[in-house]
Amino acid sequence: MISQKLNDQITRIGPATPAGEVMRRYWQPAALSDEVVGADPMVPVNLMGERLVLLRDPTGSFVLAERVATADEAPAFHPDRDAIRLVEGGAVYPVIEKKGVFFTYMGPGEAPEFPNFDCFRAPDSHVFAFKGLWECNWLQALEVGIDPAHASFLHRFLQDEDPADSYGKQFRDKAGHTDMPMTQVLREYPRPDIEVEETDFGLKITALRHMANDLTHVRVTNQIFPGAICIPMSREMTITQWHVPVDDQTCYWYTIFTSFAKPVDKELMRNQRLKEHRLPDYAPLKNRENNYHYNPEEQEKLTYTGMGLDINVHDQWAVEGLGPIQDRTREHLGRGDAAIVRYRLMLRKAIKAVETSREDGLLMRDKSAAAIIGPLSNDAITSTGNWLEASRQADMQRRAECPWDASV
Amino acid sequence: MANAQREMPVLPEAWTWIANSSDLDGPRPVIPITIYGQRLVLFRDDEGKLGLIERHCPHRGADMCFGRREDNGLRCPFHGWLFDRNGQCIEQPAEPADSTLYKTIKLPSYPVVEKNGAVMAFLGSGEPPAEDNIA
Repeated sequence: MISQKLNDQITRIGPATPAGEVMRRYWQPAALSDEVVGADPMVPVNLMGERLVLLRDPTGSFVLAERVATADEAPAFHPDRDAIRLVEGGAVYPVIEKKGVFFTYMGPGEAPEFPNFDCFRAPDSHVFAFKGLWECNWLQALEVGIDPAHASFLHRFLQDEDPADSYGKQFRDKAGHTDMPMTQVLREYPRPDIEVEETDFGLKITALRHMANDLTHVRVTNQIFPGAICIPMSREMTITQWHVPVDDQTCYWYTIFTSFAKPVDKELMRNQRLKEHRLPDYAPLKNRENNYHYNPEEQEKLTYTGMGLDINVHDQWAVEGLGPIQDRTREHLGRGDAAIVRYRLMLRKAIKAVETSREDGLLMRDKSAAAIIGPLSNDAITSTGNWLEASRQADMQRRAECPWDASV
Repeated sequence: MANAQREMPVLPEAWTWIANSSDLDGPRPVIPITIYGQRLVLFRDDEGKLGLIERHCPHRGADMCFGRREDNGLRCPFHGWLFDRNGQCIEQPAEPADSTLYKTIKLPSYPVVEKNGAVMAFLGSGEPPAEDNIA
């Protein structure tokens, strides 16, 4: 449990708010390249409590410029092109397009370097980007991603499907080098030991599921400061996902799917996800208004939630159900929430650093950020006594067999 | 809204109608009840008894209206925490096996009776009045 004052401090992101000032010191996703079409694009962008538009400035460079908005606009409102008016003398923010995503820097001074993460290092053929709208505060959206225990429940499948049908889907591959589906590992071993360590980019989170026959399932995921995660999706792909505030009560997830060996089948990945979202705001078709297509019979027989096979919907239900801004004065965290506790301490430390103008302490803000590679993000099944090295080796092998330079 | 929940309204010191028994006739007897600003969930357990407990899981706040009705209680789909009809947490299946944290966790709950097809709850403080007084 935390106080209301602290909850306000770590969740609110408007200009001149403590967490908002930290978020503004990092590059944030603003739009997908898929949204930006034609020679003279004007794409409404609603970001960090500000109403903006992505367009080319007179020199031809992309920028985000402030647009005129009314107070009653919906959070993810997309005005028609003809209705967009720029605020004269309003804010203008720099923009960089990387791997299917337009990133912007809305903070003071010079923007930091981009870290050399796998998602930025892989060739365009090996990445695919998508996004989706969630109706809740960004922090609860992030916190579900740094909570390795929930996958054994929220994403539980009461029956396993054939991993051969798993392309482009989370948790549906075989586990490590075994023939056991990931869904079975998660279901049968629901009490992971969780280890959390601070790194130069955020947190490394290791979930250990000790299995029969002296084997351990090792799942390494990562928190990338301030608002992103990097997690394994399948043996082939990782997910790097940013949780970006639209306003205090709405956020987008932006994901760059990164493939090691084979190029990404972008058309398949895009169609899988377009089927579940509407344009232009990328709002999910299953949502609070239609009870996420909840089916009690399915909940009894097939899935833990009764909300279909798409784990994105499970996460969306979980985080939106906590309310527009989760009331953390009523929470009761357990040992399974170790990474959440550690992350909040990191965020508070960063808030303090910004407030006291001691910004040297902020992660990835200096030139050395460009030298950060990885992060290791992997599922492996290893002998219990040797899990740390064996987990690393499993990731190294995947990187060694990869056609682009994924060495770490 | 989170803040509104904490402004305690005056709750009636009498048995109050909250639902009809027939509202729970379906294969999954779990329904949301919002009354006097309280967000609650009403469910029938495997013994056929009713529970009226706070709607949001005390762990992180997930919505128990989508809970799994099993093991004689209501289980949160987020991390599997199981609550009995009195709101007592009886399992935390993601926590370490030796954890006893669950014993300290109890959701607010309210006495419920069924009479003539009506589900009546006592939301007040102290002991509820005799059930004979229900009209």
